[in-house]
Amino acid sequence: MIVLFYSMLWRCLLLFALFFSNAAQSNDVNRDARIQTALTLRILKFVTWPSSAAITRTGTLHLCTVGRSPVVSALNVQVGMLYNNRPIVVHSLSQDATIVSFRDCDALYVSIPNELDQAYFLTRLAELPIVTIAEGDGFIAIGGMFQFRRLENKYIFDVSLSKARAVEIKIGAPLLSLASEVR
Amino acid sequence: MMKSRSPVTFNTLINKLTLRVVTIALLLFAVCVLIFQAWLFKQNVDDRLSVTASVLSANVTAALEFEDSEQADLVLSTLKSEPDVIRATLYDRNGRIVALYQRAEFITGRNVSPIDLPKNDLENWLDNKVQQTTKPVLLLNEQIGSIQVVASAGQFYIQWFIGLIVIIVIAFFAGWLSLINTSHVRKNIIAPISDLADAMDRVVSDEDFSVRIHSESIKEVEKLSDSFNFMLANIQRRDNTVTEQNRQLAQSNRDLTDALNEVTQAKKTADQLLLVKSKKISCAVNDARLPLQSVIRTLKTLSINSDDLKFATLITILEERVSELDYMIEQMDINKLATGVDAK
Repeated sequence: MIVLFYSMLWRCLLLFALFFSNAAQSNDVNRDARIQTALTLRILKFVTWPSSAAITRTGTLHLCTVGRSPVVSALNVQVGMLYNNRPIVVHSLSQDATIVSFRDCDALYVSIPNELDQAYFLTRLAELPIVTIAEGDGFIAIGGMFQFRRLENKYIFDVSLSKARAVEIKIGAPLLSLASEVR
Repeated sequence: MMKSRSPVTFNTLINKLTLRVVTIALLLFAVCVLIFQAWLFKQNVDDRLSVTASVLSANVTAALEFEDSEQADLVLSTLKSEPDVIRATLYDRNGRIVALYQRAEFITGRNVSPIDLPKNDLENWLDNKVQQTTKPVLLLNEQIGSIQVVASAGQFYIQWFIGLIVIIVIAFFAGWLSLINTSHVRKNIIAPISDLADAMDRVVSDEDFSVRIHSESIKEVEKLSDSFNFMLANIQRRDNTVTEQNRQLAQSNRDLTDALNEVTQAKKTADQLLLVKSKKISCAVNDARLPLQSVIRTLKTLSINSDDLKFATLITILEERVSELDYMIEQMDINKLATGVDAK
Protein backbone atom coordinates (compact mmCIF):
# COMPACT_ATOMS: atom_id res chain seq x y z
CA MET A 1 0.00 0.00 0.00
CA ILE A 2 2.77 2.33 0.92
CA VAL A 3 4.65 1.29 -2.19
CA LEU A 4 1.59 2.03 -4.28
CA PHE A 5 1.22 5.40 -2.56
CA TYR A 6 4.84 6.39 -3.28
CA SER A 7 4.52 5.09 -6.83
CA MET A 8 1.46 7.30 -7.37
CA LEU A 9 3.17 10.22 -5.69
CA TRP A 10 6.21 9.80 -7.89
CA ARG A 11 4.07 9.69 -11.02
CA CYS A 12 2.23 12.80 -9.91
CA LEU A 13 5.49 14.58 -9.32
CA LEU A 14 6.72 13.52 -12.76
CA LEU A 15 3.51 14.74 -14.38
CA PHE A 16 3.78 17.99 -12.44
CA ALA A 17 7.39 18.47 -13.49
CA LEU A 18 6.55 17.61 -17.08
CA PHE A 19 3.65 20.08 -17.01
CA PHE A 20 5.80 22.95 -15.74
CA SER A 21 8.63 22.01 -18.06
CA ASN A 22 6.28 22.26 -21.04
CA ALA A 23 4.85 25.45 -19.64
CA ALA A 24 8.30 26.96 -19.28
CA GLN A 25 9.21 25.87 -22.78
CA SER A 26 5.97 27.30 -24.04
CA ASN A 27 6.71 30.53 -22.23
CA ASP A 28 10.13 30.71 -23.91
CA VAL A 29 8.53 30.12 -27.30
CA ASN A 30 5.94 32.78 -26.67
CA ARG A 31 8.62 35.19 -25.52
CA ASP A 32 10.69 34.62 -28.67
CA ALA A 33 7.60 35.01 -30.79
CA ARG A 34 6.72 38.26 -29.06
CA ILE A 35 10.24 39.57 -29.54
CA GLN A 36 10.29 38.65 -33.21
CA THR A 37 6.87 40.15 -33.71
CA ALA A 38 7.95 43.38 -32.06
CA LEU A 39 11.15 43.41 -34.10
CA THR A 40 9.20 42.82 -37.30
CA LEU A 41 6.83 45.68 -36.60
CA ARG A 42 9.66 47.97 -35.58
CA ILE A 43 11.70 47.14 -38.66
CA LEU A 44 8.75 48.06 -40.84
CA LYS A 45 8.78 51.57 -39.33
CA PHE A 46 12.12 52.22 -41.00
CA VAL A 47 11.09 50.97 -44.42
CA THR A 48 9.84 53.11 -47.28
CA TRP A 49 8.01 51.39 -50.09
CA PRO A 50 7.93 52.41 -53.75
CA SER A 51 4.82 53.84 -55.35
CA SER A 52 3.88 50.47 -56.78
CA ALA A 53 3.56 48.91 -53.31
CA ALA A 54 0.19 48.12 -51.81
CA ILE A 55 0.67 50.49 -48.88
CA THR A 56 1.08 53.42 -51.25
CA ARG A 57 -1.91 52.44 -53.25
CA THR A 58 -4.30 51.53 -50.45
CA GLY A 59 -2.99 53.56 -47.54
CA THR A 60 -2.97 50.44 -45.38
CA LEU A 61 -0.05 48.27 -44.34
CA HIS A 62 -0.65 44.75 -45.51
CA LEU A 63 1.32 42.32 -43.38
CA CYS A 64 1.22 38.78 -44.71
CA THR A 65 2.36 35.56 -43.11
CA VAL A 66 3.18 32.22 -44.66
CA GLY A 67 3.49 28.98 -42.75
CA ARG A 68 2.79 28.10 -39.16
CA SER A 69 4.77 29.18 -36.17
CA PRO A 70 4.25 31.03 -32.90
CA VAL A 71 5.53 34.21 -34.62
CA VAL A 72 2.95 33.85 -37.37
CA SER A 73 0.30 33.33 -34.73
CA ALA A 74 1.52 36.38 -32.82
CA LEU A 75 1.56 38.46 -35.98
CA ASN A 76 -1.93 37.37 -36.87
CA VAL A 77 -3.28 39.02 -33.76
CA GLN A 78 -1.78 42.41 -34.69
CA VAL A 79 -4.81 43.24 -36.78
CA GLY A 80 -6.00 46.77 -36.20
CA MET A 81 -2.71 48.09 -34.91
CA LEU A 82 -1.66 51.39 -36.32
CA TYR A 83 1.34 51.96 -38.49
CA ASN A 84 2.06 55.64 -39.09
CA ASN A 85 -1.58 56.34 -38.32
CA ARG A 86 -2.59 53.69 -40.82
CA PRO A 87 -4.24 50.40 -39.84
CA ILE A 88 -2.32 47.17 -40.20
CA VAL A 89 -4.11 44.40 -42.07
CA VAL A 90 -2.72 40.92 -41.52
CA HIS A 91 -3.17 38.25 -44.20
CA SER A 92 -2.34 34.63 -43.54
CA LEU A 93 -1.48 33.05 -46.88
CA SER A 94 -0.48 29.65 -48.08
CA GLN A 95 2.87 29.19 -49.70
CA ASP A 96 1.08 27.70 -52.68
CA ALA A 97 -1.08 30.79 -53.15
CA THR A 98 -0.92 32.49 -56.52
CA ILE A 99 1.48 35.34 -57.08
CA VAL A 100 -1.48 37.68 -57.46
CA SER A 101 -2.35 37.07 -53.83
CA PHE A 102 1.01 38.39 -52.77
CA ARG A 103 0.75 41.61 -54.81
CA ASP A 104 -1.27 43.11 -51.98
CA CYS A 105 1.42 42.35 -49.41
CA ASP A 106 3.85 44.97 -48.16
CA ALA A 107 5.65 42.73 -45.72
CA LEU A 108 5.79 39.00 -45.45
CA TYR A 109 6.89 36.90 -42.51
CA VAL A 110 8.00 33.57 -43.84
CA SER A 111 7.88 30.52 -41.68
CA ILE A 112 8.62 27.62 -44.02
CA PRO A 113 10.78 24.97 -42.43
CA ASN A 114 12.31 23.60 -45.60
CA GLU A 115 14.97 25.87 -47.08
CA LEU A 116 14.40 24.61 -50.62
CA ASP A 117 10.74 25.41 -50.40
CA GLN A 118 11.66 28.77 -48.92
CA ALA A 119 14.05 29.49 -51.80
CA TYR A 120 11.50 28.48 -54.37
CA PHE A 121 8.87 30.58 -52.67
CA LEU A 122 11.15 33.64 -52.56
CA THR A 123 12.04 33.22 -56.22
CA ARG A 124 8.39 33.68 -57.08
CA LEU A 125 8.27 36.95 -55.12
CA ALA A 126 11.58 38.26 -56.38
CA GLU A 127 10.07 41.08 -58.47
CA LEU A 128 7.53 42.28 -55.91
CA PRO A 129 8.21 45.21 -53.50
CA ILE A 130 7.68 43.08 -50.42
CA VAL A 131 9.76 43.15 -47.28
CA THR A 132 10.48 39.51 -46.53
CA ILE A 133 11.38 38.53 -42.99
CA ALA A 134 12.18 35.18 -41.45
CA GLU A 135 14.13 33.56 -38.66
CA GLY A 136 17.25 31.69 -39.64
CA ASP A 137 20.82 32.09 -40.78
CA GLY A 138 20.32 31.32 -44.45
CA PHE A 139 17.23 33.37 -45.27
CA ILE A 140 19.13 36.26 -46.87
CA ALA A 141 21.33 33.85 -48.78
CA ILE A 142 18.30 32.42 -50.57
CA GLY A 143 16.80 35.80 -51.44
CA GLY A 144 15.26 37.12 -48.21
CA MET A 145 15.52 40.72 -47.02
CA PHE A 146 15.64 40.52 -43.20
CA GLN A 147 16.62 37.57 -41.09
CA PHE A 148 16.55 37.21 -37.33
CA ARG A 149 19.28 35.38 -35.53
CA ARG A 150 19.55 34.49 -31.93
CA LEU A 151 22.84 35.45 -30.36
CA GLU A 152 23.20 34.24 -26.81
CA ASN A 153 20.28 35.80 -25.03
CA LYS A 154 19.13 38.33 -27.60
CA TYR A 155 17.94 38.64 -31.16
CA ILE A 156 19.93 40.32 -33.85
CA PHE A 157 19.00 40.89 -37.47
CA ASP A 158 20.73 41.01 -40.82
CA VAL A 159 19.68 43.04 -43.84
CA SER A 160 20.07 42.46 -47.54
CA LEU A 161 20.32 45.99 -48.83
CA SER A 162 20.92 44.80 -52.40
CA LYS A 163 17.69 42.84 -52.36
CA ALA A 164 15.82 45.87 -51.00
CA ARG A 165 17.29 48.14 -53.63
CA ALA A 166 16.40 45.66 -56.35
CA VAL A 167 12.70 46.17 -55.59
CA GLU A 168 13.09 49.89 -54.81
CA ILE A 169 12.49 49.49 -51.11
CA LYS A 170 14.37 51.97 -48.99
CA ILE A 171 15.66 51.09 -45.56
CA GLY A 172 16.40 53.86 -43.07
CA ALA A 173 20.03 54.45 -42.19
CA PRO A 174 19.42 54.23 -38.43
CA LEU A 175 18.04 50.74 -38.92
CA LEU A 176 21.05 49.75 -40.97
CA SER A 177 23.30 50.97 -38.17
CA LEU A 178 21.53 48.55 -35.85
CA ALA A 179 21.77 45.61 -38.23
CA SER A 180 24.31 42.98 -37.34
CA GLU A 181 25.19 42.48 -40.96
CA VAL A 182 24.31 44.47 -44.05
CA ARG A 183 24.74 42.69 -47.36
CA MET B 1 34.32 133.28 -5.48
CA MET B 2 34.72 132.05 -8.99
CA LYS B 3 37.98 130.42 -9.77
CA SER B 4 39.58 131.98 -12.79
CA ARG B 5 40.44 129.48 -15.45
CA SER B 6 43.83 129.65 -17.03
CA PRO B 7 43.62 129.98 -20.80
CA VAL B 8 44.33 126.86 -22.79
CA THR B 9 46.08 126.61 -26.10
CA PHE B 10 44.53 125.52 -29.33
CA ASN B 11 46.89 122.58 -29.35
CA THR B 12 45.55 121.29 -26.04
CA LEU B 13 41.97 121.87 -27.13
CA ILE B 14 42.41 120.00 -30.39
CA ASN B 15 44.22 117.16 -28.64
CA LYS B 16 41.41 116.89 -26.11
CA LEU B 17 38.80 117.06 -28.85
CA THR B 18 40.52 114.38 -30.90
CA LEU B 19 41.00 112.10 -27.93
CA ARG B 20 37.41 112.52 -26.80
CA VAL B 21 35.97 111.87 -30.23
CA VAL B 22 38.21 108.90 -30.87
CA THR B 23 37.62 107.44 -27.41
CA ILE B 24 33.84 107.82 -27.58
CA ALA B 25 33.68 106.44 -31.12
CA LEU B 26 35.92 103.50 -30.33
CA LEU B 27 34.13 102.73 -27.07
CA LEU B 28 30.76 102.74 -28.80
CA PHE B 29 32.15 100.64 -31.60
CA ALA B 30 33.74 98.16 -29.19
CA VAL B 31 30.60 97.82 -27.09
CA CYS B 32 28.46 97.33 -30.19
CA VAL B 33 30.86 94.77 -31.64
CA LEU B 34 31.06 92.85 -28.37
CA ILE B 35 27.29 92.81 -27.96
CA PHE B 36 26.87 91.81 -31.58
CA GLN B 37 29.50 89.13 -31.16
CA ALA B 38 27.75 87.76 -28.08
CA TRP B 39 24.42 87.76 -29.87
CA LEU B 40 25.95 86.19 -32.97
CA PHE B 41 27.74 83.54 -30.97
CA LYS B 42 24.58 82.68 -29.08
CA GLN B 43 22.66 82.45 -32.34
CA ASN B 44 25.38 80.26 -33.81
CA VAL B 45 25.45 78.01 -30.80
CA ASP B 46 21.65 77.86 -30.84
CA ASP B 47 21.62 76.94 -34.49
CA ARG B 48 24.44 74.45 -34.14
CA LEU B 49 22.87 72.84 -31.11
CA SER B 50 19.57 72.65 -32.90
CA VAL B 51 21.17 71.03 -35.95
CA THR B 52 23.20 68.68 -33.78
CA ALA B 53 20.14 67.70 -31.79
CA SER B 54 18.16 67.18 -35.00
CA VAL B 55 20.87 64.98 -36.52
CA LEU B 56 21.20 63.01 -33.31
CA SER B 57 17.46 62.72 -33.08
CA ALA B 58 17.36 61.22 -36.57
CA ASN B 59 20.23 58.87 -35.86
CA VAL B 60 18.97 57.52 -32.57
CA THR B 61 15.46 56.66 -33.74
CA ALA B 62 16.32 53.03 -34.44
CA ALA B 63 18.34 52.70 -31.26
CA LEU B 64 15.48 54.17 -29.27
CA GLU B 65 12.84 52.12 -31.06
CA PHE B 66 14.81 48.92 -30.58
CA GLU B 67 15.81 49.98 -27.04
CA ASP B 68 19.44 49.50 -27.94
CA SER B 69 21.31 51.57 -25.36
CA GLU B 70 24.71 50.58 -26.69
CA GLN B 71 23.86 51.84 -30.15
CA ALA B 72 22.39 55.02 -28.64
CA ASP B 73 25.58 55.54 -26.63
CA LEU B 74 27.57 55.01 -29.81
CA VAL B 75 25.52 57.62 -31.64
CA LEU B 76 25.82 60.10 -28.78
CA SER B 77 29.56 59.51 -28.54
CA THR B 78 29.93 61.19 -31.94
CA LEU B 79 29.53 64.42 -29.96
CA LYS B 80 33.19 64.12 -28.97
CA SER B 81 33.93 66.10 -32.11
CA GLU B 82 31.82 68.98 -30.75
CA PRO B 83 33.96 70.72 -28.10
CA ASP B 84 31.08 72.94 -26.96
CA VAL B 85 28.72 70.08 -26.16
CA ILE B 86 29.15 68.99 -22.59
CA ARG B 87 26.19 66.71 -22.24
CA ALA B 88 23.57 64.91 -24.31
CA THR B 89 20.78 62.87 -22.86
CA LEU B 90 18.44 60.56 -24.72
CA TYR B 91 15.05 59.94 -23.13
CA ASP B 92 12.47 57.37 -24.17
CA ARG B 93 8.81 58.19 -24.54
CA ASN B 94 8.32 57.66 -20.80
CA GLY B 95 11.04 60.12 -19.86
CA ARG B 96 13.54 57.49 -18.80
CA ILE B 97 17.17 58.04 -19.70
CA VAL B 98 18.20 55.62 -22.43
CA ALA B 99 21.66 56.97 -23.13
CA LEU B 100 23.84 59.69 -21.72
CA TYR B 101 26.89 61.38 -23.13
CA GLN B 102 28.95 63.67 -20.94
CA ARG B 103 32.26 65.29 -21.76
CA ALA B 104 35.01 63.87 -19.57
CA GLU B 105 36.02 67.12 -17.90
CA PHE B 106 32.42 67.80 -16.86
CA ILE B 107 31.63 64.41 -15.38
CA THR B 108 33.00 64.99 -11.89
CA GLY B 109 33.29 68.72 -11.44
CA ARG B 110 30.06 69.89 -12.89
CA ASN B 111 26.92 67.97 -12.36
CA VAL B 112 24.18 70.06 -13.90
CA SER B 113 20.87 68.32 -14.04
CA PRO B 114 19.66 68.51 -17.64
CA ILE B 115 16.07 68.92 -16.52
CA ASP B 116 16.79 71.82 -14.19
CA LEU B 117 18.65 73.90 -16.74
CA PRO B 118 17.63 77.54 -17.00
CA LYS B 119 15.52 79.04 -19.71
CA ASN B 120 17.19 79.54 -23.00
CA ASP B 121 17.62 83.29 -22.84
CA LEU B 122 20.86 85.23 -23.03
CA GLU B 123 20.88 86.42 -19.43
CA ASN B 124 20.38 83.00 -17.94
CA TRP B 125 22.76 81.60 -20.44
CA LEU B 126 25.50 84.05 -19.46
CA ASP B 127 24.80 83.50 -15.76
CA ASN B 128 24.86 79.76 -15.98
CA LYS B 129 27.34 79.51 -18.81
CA VAL B 130 25.34 76.74 -20.41
CA GLN B 131 22.94 76.51 -23.28
CA GLN B 132 20.60 73.71 -24.05
CA THR B 133 18.16 72.53 -26.62
CA THR B 134 15.70 69.70 -26.61
CA LYS B 135 14.40 67.95 -29.70
CA PRO B 136 11.78 65.25 -29.96
CA VAL B 137 12.78 61.93 -31.51
CA LEU B 138 10.14 61.22 -34.10
CA LEU B 139 9.44 58.02 -35.92
CA LEU B 140 6.62 58.04 -38.44
CA ASN B 141 5.23 61.24 -36.92
CA GLU B 142 5.14 59.65 -33.49
CA GLN B 143 7.34 60.93 -30.69
CA ILE B 144 9.26 57.99 -29.36
CA GLY B 145 11.54 59.98 -27.12
CA SER B 146 13.50 63.18 -26.82
CA ILE B 147 17.08 64.26 -26.85
CA GLN B 148 18.57 67.08 -24.86
CA VAL B 149 21.89 68.63 -25.82
CA VAL B 150 23.72 70.97 -23.46
CA ALA B 151 26.57 73.22 -24.59
CA SER B 152 29.11 75.12 -22.55
CA ALA B 153 29.61 78.83 -22.96
CA GLY B 154 33.34 78.43 -22.32
CA GLN B 155 34.13 78.60 -25.99
CA PHE B 156 32.08 81.77 -26.18
CA TYR B 157 34.09 83.39 -23.37
CA ILE B 158 37.36 82.43 -25.07
CA GLN B 159 36.18 83.89 -28.39
CA TRP B 160 34.72 86.91 -26.61
CA PHE B 161 37.98 87.50 -24.76
CA ILE B 162 39.98 87.15 -27.97
CA GLY B 163 37.55 89.56 -29.63
CA LEU B 164 38.00 91.99 -26.74
CA ILE B 165 41.79 91.81 -27.03
CA VAL B 166 41.59 92.31 -30.79
CA ILE B 167 39.24 95.26 -30.33
CA ILE B 168 41.51 96.83 -27.72
CA VAL B 169 44.53 96.43 -30.00
CA ILE B 170 42.58 97.83 -32.95
CA ALA B 171 41.28 100.67 -30.77
CA PHE B 172 44.79 101.64 -29.67
CA PHE B 173 46.07 101.37 -33.20
CA ALA B 174 43.14 103.39 -34.55
CA GLY B 175 43.61 105.99 -31.82
CA TRP B 176 47.30 106.24 -32.60
CA LEU B 177 46.59 106.54 -36.32
CA SER B 178 43.92 109.16 -35.76
CA LEU B 179 46.22 111.20 -33.51
CA ILE B 180 48.97 111.05 -36.10
CA ASN B 181 46.52 111.97 -38.79
CA THR B 182 45.03 114.81 -36.80
CA SER B 183 48.45 116.18 -35.94
CA HIS B 184 48.80 117.18 -39.59
CA VAL B 185 45.38 118.81 -39.56
CA ARG B 186 46.19 120.34 -36.21
CA LYS B 187 49.31 121.92 -37.67
CA ASN B 188 47.26 123.34 -40.51
CA ILE B 189 44.79 124.83 -38.05
CA ILE B 190 47.18 125.99 -35.35
CA ALA B 191 50.05 127.33 -37.47
CA PRO B 192 48.06 130.19 -39.06
CA ILE B 193 46.48 131.05 -35.72
CA SER B 194 49.90 131.01 -34.03
CA ASP B 195 51.20 133.20 -36.84
CA LEU B 196 48.30 135.55 -36.22
CA ALA B 197 49.05 135.64 -32.50
CA ASP B 198 52.77 136.21 -33.13
CA ALA B 199 52.00 138.97 -35.61
CA MET B 200 49.66 140.58 -33.10
CA ASP B 201 52.40 140.40 -30.49
CA ARG B 202 54.85 142.13 -32.84
CA VAL B 203 52.27 144.75 -33.71
CA VAL B 204 51.51 145.38 -30.05
CA SER B 205 55.07 145.31 -28.73
CA ASP B 206 57.08 146.75 -31.65
CA GLU B 207 54.29 148.68 -33.36
CA ASP B 208 55.50 147.07 -36.51
CA PHE B 209 52.63 147.30 -38.96
CA SER B 210 54.63 145.85 -41.81
CA VAL B 211 54.03 142.32 -40.52
CA ARG B 212 52.08 140.10 -42.94
CA ILE B 213 50.68 136.58 -42.55
CA HIS B 214 50.57 134.00 -45.34
CA SER B 215 48.05 131.20 -44.94
CA GLU B 216 46.36 129.21 -47.67
CA SER B 217 45.52 126.04 -45.76
CA ILE B 218 42.12 126.88 -44.32
CA LYS B 219 39.60 129.08 -46.02
CA GLU B 220 38.39 130.79 -42.84
CA VAL B 221 41.91 131.31 -41.53
CA GLU B 222 42.97 132.55 -44.94
CA LYS B 223 40.08 135.02 -44.86
CA LEU B 224 41.05 136.05 -41.34
CA SER B 225 44.68 136.46 -42.37
CA ASP B 226 43.71 138.50 -45.41
CA SER B 227 41.51 140.73 -43.29
CA PHE B 228 44.27 141.05 -40.71
CA ASN B 229 46.78 141.89 -43.43
CA PHE B 230 44.35 144.39 -44.93
CA MET B 231 43.86 145.98 -41.52
CA LEU B 232 47.61 146.12 -40.93
CA ALA B 233 48.17 147.59 -44.39
CA ASN B 234 45.58 150.28 -43.68
CA ILE B 235 47.11 151.02 -40.32
CA GLN B 236 50.56 151.12 -41.87
CA ARG B 237 49.37 153.42 -44.65
CA ARG B 238 47.75 155.74 -42.12
CA ASP B 239 50.81 155.52 -39.95
CA ASN B 240 52.98 156.43 -42.91
CA THR B 241 50.68 159.30 -43.79
CA VAL B 242 50.73 160.57 -40.23
CA THR B 243 54.49 160.23 -40.12
CA GLU B 244 54.85 162.11 -43.39
CA GLN B 245 52.48 164.79 -42.22
CA ASN B 246 54.39 165.06 -38.96
CA ARG B 247 57.58 165.32 -40.88
CA GLN B 248 56.10 167.99 -43.13
CA LEU B 249 54.71 169.77 -40.11
CA ALA B 250 58.07 169.67 -38.43
CA GLN B 251 59.70 170.95 -41.60
CA SER B 252 57.13 173.74 -41.81
CA ASN B 253 57.75 174.51 -38.22
CA ARG B 254 61.44 174.66 -38.83
CA ASP B 255 60.91 176.82 -41.90
CA LEU B 256 58.61 179.10 -39.96
CA THR B 257 61.12 179.35 -37.15
CA ASP B 258 63.85 180.18 -39.61
CA ALA B 259 61.63 182.71 -41.30
CA LEU B 260 60.72 184.23 -37.98
CA ASN B 261 64.35 184.43 -37.05
CA GLU B 262 65.11 186.04 -40.35
CA VAL B 263 62.20 188.42 -39.95
CA THR B 264 63.33 189.24 -36.43
CA GLN B 265 66.83 189.78 -37.63
CA ALA B 266 65.58 191.89 -40.50
CA LYS B 267 63.35 193.87 -38.19
CA LYS B 268 66.23 194.41 -35.89
CA THR B 269 68.38 195.57 -38.74
CA ALA B 270 65.55 197.70 -40.04
CA ASP B 271 65.00 199.17 -36.63
CA GLN B 272 68.65 199.95 -36.36
CA LEU B 273 68.59 201.42 -39.82
CA LEU B 274 65.44 203.28 -38.99
CA LEU B 275 66.99 204.55 -35.84
CA VAL B 276 69.99 205.67 -37.70
CA LYS B 277 67.84 207.19 -40.39
CA SER B 278 65.57 208.76 -37.86
CA LYS B 279 68.52 210.20 -36.10
CA LYS B 280 69.73 211.51 -39.37
CA ILE B 281 66.30 212.83 -40.26
CA SER B 282 65.86 214.23 -36.83
CA CYS B 283 69.18 215.95 -37.13
CA ALA B 284 68.27 217.07 -40.56
CA VAL B 285 64.86 218.27 -39.39
CA ASN B 286 66.45 219.90 -36.45
CA ASP B 287 69.00 221.34 -38.74
CA ALA B 288 66.27 222.57 -41.02
CA ARG B 289 64.08 223.91 -38.23
CA LEU B 290 66.73 226.16 -36.73
CA PRO B 291 67.38 228.13 -39.96
CA LEU B 292 63.69 228.34 -40.50
CA GLN B 293 63.18 229.76 -37.07
CA SER B 294 65.99 232.21 -37.76
CA VAL B 295 64.33 233.10 -41.01
CA ILE B 296 60.99 233.52 -39.24
CA ARG B 297 62.55 235.66 -36.65
CA THR B 298 64.24 237.68 -39.30
CA LEU B 299 61.04 238.01 -41.22
CA LYS B 300 59.16 238.99 -38.10
CA THR B 301 61.69 241.59 -37.45
CA LEU B 302 61.40 242.80 -40.96
CA SER B 303 57.60 242.72 -40.89
CA ILE B 304 57.43 244.89 -37.90
CA ASN B 305 58.44 247.64 -40.03
CA SER B 306 56.37 246.69 -42.94
CA ASP B 307 52.80 246.17 -43.59
CA ASP B 308 53.34 243.94 -46.38
CA LEU B 309 51.07 241.02 -46.16
CA LYS B 310 53.51 238.93 -48.01
CA PHE B 311 55.73 238.86 -44.98
CA ALA B 312 52.89 237.86 -42.78
CA THR B 313 51.85 235.13 -45.16
CA LEU B 314 55.38 233.89 -45.54
CA ILE B 315 55.87 233.94 -41.80
CA THR B 316 52.67 231.98 -41.34
CA ILE B 317 53.72 229.48 -43.91
CA LEU B 318 57.12 229.10 -42.35
CA GLU B 319 55.65 228.75 -38.89
CA GLU B 320 53.37 226.03 -40.19
CA ARG B 321 56.39 224.31 -41.67
CA VAL B 322 58.21 224.57 -38.37
CA SER B 323 55.17 223.21 -36.59
CA GLU B 324 55.13 220.35 -39.03
CA LEU B 325 58.78 219.74 -38.35
CA ASP B 326 58.11 219.77 -34.62
CA TYR B 327 55.32 217.39 -35.11
CA MET B 328 57.60 215.18 -37.15
CA ILE B 329 60.26 215.34 -34.44
CA GLU B 330 57.66 214.54 -31.81
CA GLN B 331 56.26 211.73 -33.85
CA MET B 332 59.65 210.19 -34.51
CA ASP B 333 60.41 210.34 -30.79
CA ILE B 334 63.94 209.52 -31.46
CA ASN B 335 64.76 208.94 -27.84
CA LYS B 336 62.03 206.39 -27.41
CA LEU B 337 63.06 204.78 -30.63
CA ALA B 338 66.61 204.63 -29.51
CA THR B 339 65.53 203.14 -26.16
CA GLY B 340 63.42 200.48 -27.91
CA VAL B 341 66.22 199.44 -30.22
CA ASP B 342 68.56 199.23 -27.31
CA ALA B 343 66.13 197.14 -25.36
CA LYS B 344 65.91 194.63 -28.17
